[in-house]
Amino acid sequence: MAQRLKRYLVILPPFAWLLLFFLIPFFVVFQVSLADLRLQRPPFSPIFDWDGWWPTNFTGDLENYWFLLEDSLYINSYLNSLKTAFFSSLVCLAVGYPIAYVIARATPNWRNTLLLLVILPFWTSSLLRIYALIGMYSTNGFINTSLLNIGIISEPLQLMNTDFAVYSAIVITYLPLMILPLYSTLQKLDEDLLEASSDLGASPFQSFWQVTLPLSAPGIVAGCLLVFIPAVGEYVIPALMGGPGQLMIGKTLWTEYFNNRDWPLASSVAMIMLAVLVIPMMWLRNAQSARD
Amino acid sequence: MSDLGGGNDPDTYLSIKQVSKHFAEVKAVDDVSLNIRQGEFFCLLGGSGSGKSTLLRMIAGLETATSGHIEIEGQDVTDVPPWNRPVNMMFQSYALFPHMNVEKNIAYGLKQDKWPQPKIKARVEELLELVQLSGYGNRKPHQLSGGQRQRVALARALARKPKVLLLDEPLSALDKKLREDTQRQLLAIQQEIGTTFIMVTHDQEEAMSIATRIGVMDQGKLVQVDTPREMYERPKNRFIAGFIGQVNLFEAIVEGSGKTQKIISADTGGELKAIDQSELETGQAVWIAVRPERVLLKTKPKGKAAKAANKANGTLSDIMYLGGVTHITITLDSGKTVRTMISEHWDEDEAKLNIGDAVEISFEQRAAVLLES
Repeated sequence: MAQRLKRYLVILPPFAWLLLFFLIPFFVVFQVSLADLRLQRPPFSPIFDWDGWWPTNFTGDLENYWFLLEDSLYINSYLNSLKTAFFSSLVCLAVGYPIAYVIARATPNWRNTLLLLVILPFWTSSLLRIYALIGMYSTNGFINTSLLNIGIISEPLQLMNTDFAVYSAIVITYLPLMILPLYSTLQKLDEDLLEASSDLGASPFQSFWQVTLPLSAPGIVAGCLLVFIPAVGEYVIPALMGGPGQLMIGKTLWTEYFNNRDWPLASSVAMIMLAVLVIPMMWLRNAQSARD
Repeated sequence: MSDLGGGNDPDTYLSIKQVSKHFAEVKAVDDVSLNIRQGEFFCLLGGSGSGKSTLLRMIAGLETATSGHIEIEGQDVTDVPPWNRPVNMMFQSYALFPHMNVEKNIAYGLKQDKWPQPKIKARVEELLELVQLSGYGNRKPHQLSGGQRQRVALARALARKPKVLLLDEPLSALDKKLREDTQRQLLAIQQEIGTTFIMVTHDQEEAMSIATRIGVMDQGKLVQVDTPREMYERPKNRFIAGFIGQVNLFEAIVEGSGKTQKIISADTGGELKAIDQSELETGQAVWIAVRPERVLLKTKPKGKAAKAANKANGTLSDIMYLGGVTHITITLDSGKTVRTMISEHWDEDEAKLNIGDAVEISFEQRAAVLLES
């Protein structure tokens, strides 16, 4: 009994933390998303009145959500965000997998040095790194001047405010989040399994496809989620590096909150974004636990 | 060079010719030559770091030899990568693919060899039956017991019908009871399919009970290659005598020469006579090995000195009753301790032995083996 009490005491602080800083704000945002826009402070109507401890006169509705479906701007923002996040994750995977593989196979001394190099960019502000990239990509930037000097191009390339700028910045920013989980699964891979595979007639290439890759699937899934989720909601990179036509949901959300001051609509945009991310993830988790 | 079991045996199937493996400064395997016959159950026996596993891994191709050659059926495979060698290995850790079920694990090698699907299915069924795991094809490795996993590993290694099956400590992860059963199963399977098995083990009892021949390795060298019986009864040196079973070693010096040559031991305080004793150098140090069960024991009043060869006096210093057999330790007058064992039914009087009794030990000449190193 005392044992159980102790266990509850241990999990109480994180639960209290989640309740205070996640669940309550979540309900506040949810409630705002059901409210109507109003020109006063706060800029939305209450959706119920308090009768002592009990809420009465419930007036919330799903109007904002319907509006999101009607205006193609929002749907396009979602789709574009998902597309950008999806391809960024793929590029991160393609670049990160070989890096993680080499680190996992390196001697212990090298391994620590290489891991440090992967984590090192995280120690500088991401905003700073993005500004550095802008410096490199701009018309008079490092890349253009170098290429012009060598003579490969005769006039500066348009690098800034393109898809390329957004994708490359997302990949550079989130690459460590892909490498680390991949490294940790690859490093745990039992060397005996690869030896057994080659002993049973598989060439190193075949062994990779049939043993290494499937066994690193948990790392691939973890890495892709770690890149995909923040990339969907990414605001800074598309705002600073993307073109004006590049709709991403983070930018749309910002516009609704701060330019249009339409909190109820912005809240419903946020709610939908959460659903778009959480529902597939829950489905994935269920599928995974069903398979085990 | 050691050419133990080397030479030109016409029955040779797998031939290891002066193979060495150096890791930096360490000679893990040092100039080993060995011929293995078809259908043999050969055991490589040795302590940890003796080089036995490295030798096995070189046969599999998982380790490249620093020098020397390995031939299978007369074909040099020294530089053939592991995936092209006609041998398969059963790993100590079993190394079953955790993401594949039993069936897919066993079929793995056949898939690499591009067998047609129906043939793979039939072969897998056949193997599951061989290792008594029919019906377990859909289980994942983590759903199996240690013994079952061991059998899946065996089936997987046998699937491609290798010319030689290599087994790296295949039984070490099993508990004692299961290990004995599995030894018997392994031997039965080997006899049924007739494949040449080479097994690495550190357990001398396992090697004795299972092998047709044993090769004992020590510090990278192959010390002796013989049948279990020869290995036990005619060990080549003190290391082998002590490694295979228990032994009493009497230190002795060769005195005189020709017809009057004698081996005199300070341990027994008298002459020792050994089997197949040939002309030795005067003053040479030798050792006489006698197995405990060949040492005979007699109670004797104190004080009478033993005169005859292969006899010595002493006091009984320890009795360990183990049920069917009793282990007895005798301290000879020289201070040397000798071990013997008696069966409980052997002699009623002997069962009433007490610590401190004056006794005489003796052994027959044919029980004594002369060792020169």
